[in-house]
Amino acid sequence: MIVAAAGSEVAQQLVNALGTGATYALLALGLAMVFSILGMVNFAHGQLVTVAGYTMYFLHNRGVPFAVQVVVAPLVAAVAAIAMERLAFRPLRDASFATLLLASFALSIILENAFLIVAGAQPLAITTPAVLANSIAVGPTTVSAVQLYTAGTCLLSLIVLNVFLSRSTQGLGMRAAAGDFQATRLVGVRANRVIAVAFAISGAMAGIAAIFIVARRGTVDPAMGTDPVIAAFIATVIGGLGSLSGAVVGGFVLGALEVGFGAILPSSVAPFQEAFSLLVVIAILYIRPQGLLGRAQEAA
Amino acid sequence: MKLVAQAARTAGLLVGAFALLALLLEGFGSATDLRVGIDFFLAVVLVVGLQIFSGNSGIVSFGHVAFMGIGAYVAALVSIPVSVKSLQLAGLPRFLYHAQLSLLPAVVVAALASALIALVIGAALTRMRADTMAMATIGLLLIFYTVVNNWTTVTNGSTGVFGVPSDVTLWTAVGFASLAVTLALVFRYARIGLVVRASREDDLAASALGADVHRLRLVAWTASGALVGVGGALWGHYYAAFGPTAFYFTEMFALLAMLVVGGITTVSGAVTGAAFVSLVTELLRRTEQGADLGPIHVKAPAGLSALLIGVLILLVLRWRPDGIVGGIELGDRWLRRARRRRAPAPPPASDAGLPADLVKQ
Repeated sequence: MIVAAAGSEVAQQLVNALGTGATYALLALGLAMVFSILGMVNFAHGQLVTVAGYTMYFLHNRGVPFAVQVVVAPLVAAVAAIAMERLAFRPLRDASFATLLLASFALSIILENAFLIVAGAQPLAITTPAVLANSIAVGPTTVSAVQLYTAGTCLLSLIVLNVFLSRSTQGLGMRAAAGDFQATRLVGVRANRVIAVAFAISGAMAGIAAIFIVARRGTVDPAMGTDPVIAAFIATVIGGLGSLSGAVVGGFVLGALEVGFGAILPSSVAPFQEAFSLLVVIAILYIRPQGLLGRAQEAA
Repeated sequence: MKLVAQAARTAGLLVGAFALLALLLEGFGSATDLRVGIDFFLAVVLVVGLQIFSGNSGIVSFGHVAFMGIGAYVAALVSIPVSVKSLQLAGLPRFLYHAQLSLLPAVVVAALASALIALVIGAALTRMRADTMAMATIGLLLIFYTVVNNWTTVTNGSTGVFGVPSDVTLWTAVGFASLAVTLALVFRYARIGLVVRASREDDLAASALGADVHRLRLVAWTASGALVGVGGALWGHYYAAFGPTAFYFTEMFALLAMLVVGGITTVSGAVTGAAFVSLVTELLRRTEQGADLGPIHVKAPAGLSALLIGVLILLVLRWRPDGIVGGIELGDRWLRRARRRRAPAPPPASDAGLPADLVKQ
């Protein structure tokens, strides 16, 4: 009995780490994709989660079935991401790193307050299908369904994206652009197209992540994008900012750190868990600024 | 010597403007105008403090609001009356629990605490490359927020602290704003300021010429953290009650907005930005509460001011990346005009990319 209970506990923690890590990985991959091509950290990435969340709420209120919501929300987020790039970032294309970072902060403030004005500050409840709230029996143990679906869907998205990046012409162009944008332009890949696709993909992935974030929270509110983008930022720094595979690894490492700290740290220290994760980040920036999987860069 | 004259001229103009504004507020302003005025002078201390590091080194810090918070909490903890502390902070270490300082000593303690913490953190941060450091400062902001939110015995957690003596008057704020711009200008035109600014243009070249860029950046960072800490201490002693969310993304963005809108490279820019953003924010805030424009009653929704400040930032970054003031200190123009009258020959064109007054030397 006791052994079975302990096994179930461990399985649940593993699935939690996998589910949380996969959500972070999806968000981090979006950040890393944009960073690798444009050299900018897009803090307004979190508001793409908000856009997708409110899209789900809007459809939900009009009786649109959940299956349609989960298709439309990522699409809307992708379109929002393209619009973001076109309106806010393209005019600043050759600006410095800090200028772009500040611009993305400005954009996130604009979007958050736009939602505040249109929808109000109150969290709005949104019900997701019961299948997500259930527990599922996996072998001898049961684990929460939403975490399992999160892990499954996110892993599937990562695989699809990987196939796109390694098999399609457009995907190869994007990977080349991530490696050396100028050289890629010289061989005839169109810069604006690559950038637009990068933003579209990052938006779609933020939208997919948003489905599970909403399923876990059960509500949407104007500030819901802040915590996810912070987590994604941490994950990309851990993995190495320019590296796509690094972002995925960083997402899972952060998920494991979070679940691990939560399980191991005594309850008096547990609230400081995020501070520990961030200290790890600053240590990485200090010792290995290119991240765990990133390439070393020439100074200055 | 010319640089000393320049610093004195700009400081004189700014302090004169502050005094004039304060006299006008005292003579003709309503209670609300007075509050907006004090807010502005406190913002000047904070933004000019941030300018000392970010303006001179060219490295944008997203984490300075943490020093504002440290200053505010430290100054509050050493001056909240014991009777009020017993209601909210009974678990405080004894020496803090019994401390009951008046405003000035509390500000000094807050400045020392901020400087010390800035020195320790800066020792690691200032060794990073500029972009990496900018990201690490975001980490600093987040760590500070997490710690303050959860360190309940000292900070009272997310509830925040109350009962801080509300003893900052208009003239206290004017005094500290004047002190802040003077210190920032002295720093800017002192040798260290010139070298840090040279490293902003090209840090490898500055190092190659023998400047210890890391150490000088650390000095700028520490001085900057201390002054922002002073700003935070005054802020806390003006608002009397506050919690961790006061020192998070919204405030960080407000300070950077002021600095960037005005012009990050000069003290005059920082002050102009603080004035401009304070004015716009206040006008919008009044419309959010409902205002009568002749026969029409307009009421803007909450959140509109923040949204428009965001739009303003994007427009400034796009169309006036050097800010409203455009990299000039007040009084700069007069200096140039006077020199042109004396020596009509145009300056050689080989000085591109260097700060104007470095070339003058």
